[in-house]
Amino acid sequence: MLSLAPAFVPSATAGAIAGAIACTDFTRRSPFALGGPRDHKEWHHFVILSGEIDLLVNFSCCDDARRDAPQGAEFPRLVLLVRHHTWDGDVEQFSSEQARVRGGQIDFAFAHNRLRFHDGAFEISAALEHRPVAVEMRLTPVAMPAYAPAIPMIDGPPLNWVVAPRLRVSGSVTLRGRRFDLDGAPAYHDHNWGRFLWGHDVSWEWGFVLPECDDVPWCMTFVRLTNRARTRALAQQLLLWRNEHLVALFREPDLEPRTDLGHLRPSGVLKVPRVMALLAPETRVDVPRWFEMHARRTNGDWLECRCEARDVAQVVIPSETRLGVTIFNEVLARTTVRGSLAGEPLDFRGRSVLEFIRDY
Amino acid sequence: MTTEYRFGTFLRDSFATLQRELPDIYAEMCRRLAPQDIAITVDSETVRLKFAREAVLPVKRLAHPTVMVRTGRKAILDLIDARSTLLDAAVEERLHLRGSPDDLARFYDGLMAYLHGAVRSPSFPALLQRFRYPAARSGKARRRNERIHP
Repeated sequence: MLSLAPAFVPSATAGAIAGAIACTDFTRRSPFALGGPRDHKEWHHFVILSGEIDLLVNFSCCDDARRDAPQGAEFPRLVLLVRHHTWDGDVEQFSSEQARVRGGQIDFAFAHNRLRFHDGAFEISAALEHRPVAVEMRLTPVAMPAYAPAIPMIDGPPLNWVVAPRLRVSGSVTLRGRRFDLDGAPAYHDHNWGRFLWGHDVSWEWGFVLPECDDVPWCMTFVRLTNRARTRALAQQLLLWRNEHLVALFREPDLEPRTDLGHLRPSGVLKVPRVMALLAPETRVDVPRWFEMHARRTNGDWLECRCEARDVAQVVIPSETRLGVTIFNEVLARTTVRGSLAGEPLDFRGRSVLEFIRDY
Repeated sequence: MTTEYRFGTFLRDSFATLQRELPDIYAEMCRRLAPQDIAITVDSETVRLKFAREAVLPVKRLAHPTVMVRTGRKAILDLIDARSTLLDAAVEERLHLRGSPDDLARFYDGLMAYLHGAVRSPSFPALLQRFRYPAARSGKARRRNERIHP
């Protein structure tokens, strides 16, 4: 029997979800300003997959990694990527005077751009200064968040991760003067924080699956954290929700990722911020055409998730350890999921965004 | 009152900024480019530079530049805004480079070091903004986000 679809979460449950978000997903903030350690990084990440237009929104605050940076110096940044047939978007960076980020809450103000969690929903209002992209939306979580603390890193303290895997959107995005309605679109959110430098010995392959049909109760996210050469896995997890509940967590020994040896070959790649194309001009991307996660436990539970990459955009940032770059490949994919959990079969199609980090 | 922000002034200011804010990258740029003599012409203005391992020195004359570059302000901004690539600009003759293959390869390596510094420098966006709008009053230049710190 198909149980209650996540779009219609009862108010008592919605209250519990909002409470759980408030308790786990609040912004931690860097201790650097208070004389604590530096190299704090933290971001709130949202992906909206409407049938017509896809968006990625990321509010972040990272410490200034220069060794002689003034105490508390950090870089507030907004990433806004939109895909409607082709990609558009940008990365904007703000001065400390233009930015206000409240610790203990989810409340970012970068100039006129705003993210906050209020009355059970994330509210995002953003408009790029130099690209014709603006968004006004409210994202209501319809599944309980998961908190995955202490994901190990080679070069420093662990990374932390909070996931709100399924949200329902209301609002709109305006692209080049055309308004797109986002009402009812599914979305994903997560939040990471930790202390490390881009260019450290780390790489990750992360993704999520939101079902194409609203009445499918399942959604999932997975991550594999490795060394830069991708020869040594530090952590791998797959989390599966049924309606609003996290119902399965597959860990390292349960999981086997597989990747195509062939690469996605897009005809062109949007790189943001655009100036970084001078330092990373390549249009070939180190992204496999397909990526699979195979999960199996001794109790008979199993899952097979196959993501077929369709398109990619890149966020390119300077390495903090050398004269190189770190590239975030944001990959749109179509996904099929099959499996069995406690005897209940899973079989659905979904849409995914995968993120492949590469260091050059 | 407005004053034009010339390419030579921009270049001089940018070198000083790199030396102050990212001295290791400035040193790496000089190391890669020494001992080259480089003449850069942007529209009608020519800047001549002597690179030593420790510093770059603007000079009035160069007897025999090892690398000569000729381009325009618009072509530079097209590169910065990714409307063009270095290869496209060269093939389409909006960027002229003259020198031996070895010297041009060293020039490219030095240019990459300069750009790596530029995108890490907290003060570079304001410099670039003045270069982008050379006749604007400095206090009214709009913010631009060419800098991208991690």
